[in-house]
Amino acid sequence: MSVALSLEGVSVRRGGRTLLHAVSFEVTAGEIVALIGPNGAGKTTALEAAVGLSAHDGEVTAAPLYWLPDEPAPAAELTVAQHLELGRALGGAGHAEAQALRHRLGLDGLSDARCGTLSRGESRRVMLHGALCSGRPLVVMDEPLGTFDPVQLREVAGALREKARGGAAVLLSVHQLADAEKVADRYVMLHEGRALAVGTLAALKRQAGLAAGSLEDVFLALLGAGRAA
Amino acid sequence: MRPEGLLLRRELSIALRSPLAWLQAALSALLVGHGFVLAVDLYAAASRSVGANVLMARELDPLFGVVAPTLGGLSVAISLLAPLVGARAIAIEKERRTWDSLLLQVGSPRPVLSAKLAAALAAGSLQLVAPLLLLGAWVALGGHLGAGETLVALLGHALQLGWIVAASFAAAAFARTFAQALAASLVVVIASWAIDASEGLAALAWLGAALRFSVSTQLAPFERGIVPLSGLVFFVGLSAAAFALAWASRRRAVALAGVALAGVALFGAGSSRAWDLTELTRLSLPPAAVRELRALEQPISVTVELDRDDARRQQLERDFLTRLRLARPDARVEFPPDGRPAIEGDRTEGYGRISVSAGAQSRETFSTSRRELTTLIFEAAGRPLPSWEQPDYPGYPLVVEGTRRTVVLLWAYLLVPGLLAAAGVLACRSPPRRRSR
Repeated sequence: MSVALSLEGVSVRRGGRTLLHAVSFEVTAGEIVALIGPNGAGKTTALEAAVGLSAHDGEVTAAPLYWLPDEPAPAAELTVAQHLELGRALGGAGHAEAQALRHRLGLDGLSDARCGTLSRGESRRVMLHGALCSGRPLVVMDEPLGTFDPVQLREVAGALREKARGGAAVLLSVHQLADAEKVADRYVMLHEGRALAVGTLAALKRQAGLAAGSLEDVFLALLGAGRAA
Repeated sequence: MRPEGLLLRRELSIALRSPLAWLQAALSALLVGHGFVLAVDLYAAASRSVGANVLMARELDPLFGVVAPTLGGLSVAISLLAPLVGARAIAIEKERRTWDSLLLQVGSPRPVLSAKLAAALAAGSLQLVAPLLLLGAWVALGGHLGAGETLVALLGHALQLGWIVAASFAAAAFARTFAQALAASLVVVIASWAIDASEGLAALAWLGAALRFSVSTQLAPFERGIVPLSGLVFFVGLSAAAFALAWASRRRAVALAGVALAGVALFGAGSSRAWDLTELTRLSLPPAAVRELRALEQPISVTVELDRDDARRQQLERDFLTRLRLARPDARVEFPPDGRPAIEGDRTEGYGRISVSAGAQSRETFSTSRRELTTLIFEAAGRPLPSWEQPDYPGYPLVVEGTRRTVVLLWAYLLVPGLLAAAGVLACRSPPRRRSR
């Protein structure tokens, strides 16, 4: 599979502080990679460097991408239908694909609503629709799973996997490890701006020296080792 | 549909469904309406005193008496309210955290910025609705309007609107928040007002040299039915420079284009070429004099020993110098007192003298009469004064009083702002929300 995003020794310094220390990882077409880590680990900084929004040292190579920041709000003046249609048309997705995605994200009943009247979760789903309708080979999302209930999360995870199956590379930051485990194929674990581990859950378990356990167990084990180091 | 078309549709929807766009239009309508009512009342008072006197009636010119004062209110409204729609176009995306995402999605800043600026201009242009409705009312009341000159006056304000919207748009491209962008835009507006105030305020006298760069200076010819090249270059150039500056917020290399465009705009602000589109070309010298002045091979220059705040100089600028520049844009005009330190009461012996020259010959006078000064130019050139025949502007007195005045009051203060507010409510209303579960 081709590499859609590559970070090679990427460091970000801001206001005299180094927020990211020589982070390297790749995202290939057809896979979902989750950036995980505690608060302040550098997840958003890494994503912003990846999409070209922050100055950095090191090498970033990225395919044409769609960027979905944390907590974006759709244009309050537009109806959901207008917003989705414009997103679809700009992204180059077909009507049938967009309609199926709209249904999957539970947006069918909101078509006539003004985006300004939507709840936080509804807004997030509307914005996610635009990202998933995008024809870009790389989709980068900052905390896209933040406010979903378990049913919605299952649908969103399914939609993301479908996107990846369609050949797109997906990179997202996820705060809740249980959510990340439901969605991602591989993980980049960040701690204090450094990549502690990169790989599949099985690879991370090996690195943590665990024979079994969830992503959370692996995370805590690696974090403990990282702190000790 | 192409991405540019889709973006424009998106931006127009966002701009024209924003309550702010209609609110600024309704508030502007109140300001413009107030100017219109005052103008109509003053015009009526002047018209009453004219009676059957034909000579006095000629002085009643709706362009100066009604159109210009009405648009004066518009100028203030544009300066204060247009930044709201100009800055909002980008600032709202930043506050919604979708700005970077939109730019990355489209892949290039130019189409996004173009669509946003076009939409902001459309929203700002709602301010032009009120003067059109008010001047329409003037015609409906039996008032006269010269189509060409009125359109020229409106063009000037449309250009001013374009500049203010573009400037606030550029400010928003660099600012983090709407409030920051608005503050920066108002600094630009206040700087222009400070330059205007330099004429009458000693503390700001040092800004006098920048007078030709003020919005009011550039607008003045338009309000008199003249299309000045300087004003066109100034407003279009600065607006384009502001757009380039907004673009430079994403592509630094474009900043050079912005600086170049601003340079062209400021340099062009000194141009004297202009076109008289007034009815009967009444701001020009008589046609024969214009022809002969243009035929003169000698360079023409005028040296005026009058201070900037002297009423005679202002009258000379409005009358003879405007007409001379229309005939001979290359005429050199100098005001030596501008280069001297302004000390109260310190006026030279030759104060008030006006010297005109054609080639090596010159003549002097203390008169500001256009006929006298034109005669002296031809004398210096060794030619007789050509025919001074010019069609007389008839003047258009109109007394609006009684019920008709009440209608004007209702139209200006209630109906026009109310119509804009109602249109805004219709445009911004949420459709009934249907949920199907």
